[in-house]
Amino acid sequence: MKKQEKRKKRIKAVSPLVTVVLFVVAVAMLLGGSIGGTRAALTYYSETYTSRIQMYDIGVGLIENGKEVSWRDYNSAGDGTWNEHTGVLLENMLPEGESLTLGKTYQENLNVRNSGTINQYVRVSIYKYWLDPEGKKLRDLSPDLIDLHLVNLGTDWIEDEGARTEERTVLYYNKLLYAQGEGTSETPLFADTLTIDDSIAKKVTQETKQEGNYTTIITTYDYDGVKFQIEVEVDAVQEHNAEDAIWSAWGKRVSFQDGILSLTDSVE
Amino acid sequence: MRKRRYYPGILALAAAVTVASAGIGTAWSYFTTYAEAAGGYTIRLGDRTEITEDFTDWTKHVVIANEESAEPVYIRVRAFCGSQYTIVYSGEGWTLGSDGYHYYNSIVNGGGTTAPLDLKIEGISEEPEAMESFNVVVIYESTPVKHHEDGTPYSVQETDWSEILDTGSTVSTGKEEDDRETENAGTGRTNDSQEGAVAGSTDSQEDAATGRSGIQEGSTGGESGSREDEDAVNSAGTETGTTEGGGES
Repeated sequence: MKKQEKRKKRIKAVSPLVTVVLFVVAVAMLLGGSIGGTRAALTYYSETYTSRIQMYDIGVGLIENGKEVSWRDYNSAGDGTWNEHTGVLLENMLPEGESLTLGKTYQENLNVRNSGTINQYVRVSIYKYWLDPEGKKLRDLSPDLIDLHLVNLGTDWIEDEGARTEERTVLYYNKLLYAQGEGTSETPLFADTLTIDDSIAKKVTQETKQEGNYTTIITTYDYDGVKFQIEVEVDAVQEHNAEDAIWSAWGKRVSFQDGILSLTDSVE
Repeated sequence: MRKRRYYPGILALAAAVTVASAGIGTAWSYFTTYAEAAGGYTIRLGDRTEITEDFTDWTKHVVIANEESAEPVYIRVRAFCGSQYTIVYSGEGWTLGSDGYHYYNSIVNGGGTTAPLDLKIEGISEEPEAMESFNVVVIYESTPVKHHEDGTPYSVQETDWSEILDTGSTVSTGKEEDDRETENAGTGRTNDSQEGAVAGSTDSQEDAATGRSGIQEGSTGGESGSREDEDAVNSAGTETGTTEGGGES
């Protein structure tokens, strides 16, 4: 009898309060354990001191006619902000007061520059479309009438045929774009001229009105007041692990041969 | 009592979760950036020309003006009259082409005008009947100036005056007969009815074009005369504009 009682006595119920307190203490120790140690300042000096500073600031810029129009560079201060500016394309194409002349070839040199500190691969997406006088997209007017002449295709810029639509053209620069100081940091041109086809002026609508003894025929240009729009978007991705980076950022499978990029699943 | 049973279990689970979550590191991503720019311009099309004329001393002085803010155009003029008369043209800046049209040498910008073209009608007989009425129809046409790739405009000689327009829908708010009547104006009519006809009837079509890249014609008609004139008018082109400028004796 006494032995049983003793056994019973040994199994003491621990109060829930104690359990909770112990739990809290455990958590506190765990959190406290992840605080790092303090660092001491360098208290001795040597004659020569070499330090290697490595910055990983990516940046890219779009250049029009030799002048940078838009850029976005990771801030060298390293605070997570970006040095960026979005400019207007074709801003200086027409002199003051002059209106666009159909059929005339205007100079429009476009290329890309690496304005960061790491090497990168770049691609360019070009969108062309028409807007009606109210600003809505005109779906029945062909963007082919906006002739942005692309150059260096096949040699420096590769077109992604699978991504091509009537509005959109995507070009990949097939070499590495070096940071300034490491190598060529500017691509060759991918576009050099812009022309608006004058067949847009041929589409007219005629309206005949009869008023008493007079017949009036009114002929109106269908496309008076339309606006064409060109958008250029440059994407850049780091050089390190480029194949994975491009797959992750752009969703494209690419392969490299002697440093030349090629699209692997493009439609040939 | 239930609390006591599950309590240690819950606590154990909470402890395990806390330990596990302490080991979560930061997420990693690839360095990427982008830059973009967009731009465009509005296309302005459209021109409207107007003819003004004076008639003094058997001479019509014709000036054609291009509306303000319209696109630059080239202009050509031709006059038709009965076979018993001749027209002598004179004017600075106008050149006679091989097709009988007089071409204005320079581009007429929006808001600009041509130099006057004088059309002297000769051969007017002295007889009273002939002096009462005659018909001279002047047609003028304008076409927008097209440009080469390098921005230089087409010269007058290079301009294609017969360029076909891509015509869209035609809305007719009148009767078809009337249109036919205008085409046939001048066939099988007596002088009397012609007089009435020309003075503002079905065969006077005003082409109030708000912009054409093809042929825009305006013609000035005098009093009724021979039918040949009107035939010539209607066979010269599809659109004829007539502005009534009377010529009387």
